[in-house]
Amino acid sequence: MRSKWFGVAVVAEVREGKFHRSTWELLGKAYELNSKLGECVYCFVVGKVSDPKEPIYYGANKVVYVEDPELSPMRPREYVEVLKELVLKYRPSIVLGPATLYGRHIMPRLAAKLRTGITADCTDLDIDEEGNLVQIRPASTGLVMAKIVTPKHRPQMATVRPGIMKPLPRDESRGGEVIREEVKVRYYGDVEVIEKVRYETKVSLAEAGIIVSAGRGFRKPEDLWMAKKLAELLGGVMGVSRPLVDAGWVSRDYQVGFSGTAVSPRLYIAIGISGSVQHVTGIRGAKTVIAVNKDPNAPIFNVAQYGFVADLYDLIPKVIDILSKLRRTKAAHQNP
Amino acid sequence: MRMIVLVKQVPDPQHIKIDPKTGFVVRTGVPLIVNPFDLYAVELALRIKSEYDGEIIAVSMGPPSAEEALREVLAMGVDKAILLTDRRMAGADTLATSYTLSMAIKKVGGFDLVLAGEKTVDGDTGHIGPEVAEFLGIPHVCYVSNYEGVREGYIYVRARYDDYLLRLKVKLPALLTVTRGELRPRIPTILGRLRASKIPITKWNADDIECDISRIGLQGSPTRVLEVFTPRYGRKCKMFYGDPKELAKKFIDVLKELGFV
Repeated sequence: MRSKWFGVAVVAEVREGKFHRSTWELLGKAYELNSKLGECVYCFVVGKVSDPKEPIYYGANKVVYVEDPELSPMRPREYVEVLKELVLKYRPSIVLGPATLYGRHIMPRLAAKLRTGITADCTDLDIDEEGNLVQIRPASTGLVMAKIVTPKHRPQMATVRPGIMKPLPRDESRGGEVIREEVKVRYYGDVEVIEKVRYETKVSLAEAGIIVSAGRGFRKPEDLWMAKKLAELLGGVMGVSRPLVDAGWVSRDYQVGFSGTAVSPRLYIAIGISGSVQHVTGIRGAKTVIAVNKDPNAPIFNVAQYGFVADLYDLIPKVIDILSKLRRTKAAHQNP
Repeated sequence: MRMIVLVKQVPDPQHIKIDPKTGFVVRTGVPLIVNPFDLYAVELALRIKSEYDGEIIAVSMGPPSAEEALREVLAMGVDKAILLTDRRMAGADTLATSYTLSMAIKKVGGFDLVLAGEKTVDGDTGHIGPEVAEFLGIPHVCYVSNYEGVREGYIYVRARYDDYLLRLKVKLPALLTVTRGELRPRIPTILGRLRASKIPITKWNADDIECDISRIGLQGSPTRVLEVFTPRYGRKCKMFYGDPKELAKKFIDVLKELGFV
């Protein structure tokens, strides 16, 4: 029965008529996986988008589009029924979805409906010799990684956090087709969004270009001023590792890592962070990592390009000092 | 309101460590706690009960030791507790776990609301809630931070989705997964603990909840863990040691070299 399933499908995330970037990232991975399978890359689009051809430019061979502005992940029963119909019609062997909040809302429900397995928050995906999807994700509270397969069930389902996979460059010369599907759904109408209020987030780690993160090396909450100040001087934002959030020092909005926010800044400075798998997984997207730690064997140095072995209480105030002076001289030159 | 809260006993993540020699996770001696997110679900249930009356039943699947976790939520004010414990349930992935929990919930029956934590700190999938809702054929909403009221067969809730706060109306019966943000789980009082110690915990095995044995535990799990490993990263790190004053200058040099200063 396994042989009847072909191809890799990506469940697109549509927000207010636009594709979320996770769709392009997943298509990039789907394209790579399919290069080993030689089958087909599908993009399942449910909802309403202005340009359904867009996924083709990012690597989809076939866009299966159910145009219905009424359908949204916040109506999970209807949404999942439509996706199930698409899966049963096109029979992709692999179904990938975003591990965004909306993706987490529907992907597990789809897996249960299809009575198949699903692996959450994969940090990598591959195809083994038998053509099975190898799903890699942190396990045991993020301390180790697990290699997971779904040997007998189809489709094989997995979700991936935004910022982890790389999208293909957008290329309008890529060929593909858009197939419009009509799916009859029963509208249960059992979930209704009454109001959607944008609230002020103090930090936007996911989109930040420079992040200065603090970890357990900080002895008390007041000392976080060092991370804040350094971030401010560099034009970035402060992040923290999980223990500081668990200890109630700052809100979870600041948490970088597997169970916080996966980040992809140009510069990531980790101060007093040992570098658990759980944390490191969340900073994989960072271009450059500078780490400061007393312990020369701290695992964070395995992922950093620049490692400073020092007590942060000795080093960081001095760095702040020099930077502040540099800024003042610069300002003085600009405003004579 | 008749409410069912799903509870899991988990190892305290603060105490899990890796043996530096073997690279294996050290589990012995790690204290077991109630999954912290489940406490928010319990708190929400208790608040709904204080306004609308009713009953709260905690359901947990796990080894006999999970009784302690149930005792803890009883002490917070939960009315009844059921422990699903059966060797045949062991090794379950999210699909098999959700199926098992849904069969227990069906056996309890007559519920208005099922509540669960946003995720567990050990599995960290957040998948159980939506999967259980699917098996029960009821709507679900994740990341609920609080409720606003219950009227004419609907519960009004607030949920956090990225930068948005959603106000939603959900038809009962429904399943909600609960997140941090607005609620503060209460700490059990001594009186609460005393009361809890007198409540018998019901134990059910797979036959009690009429499970299809092929759908529970390891044999009912489509996913298989092939291997567990400690990752290696390819990045080569340039290390700096020495006097902090010198290091601070080198730190600035690196920032300059990278174009950030």
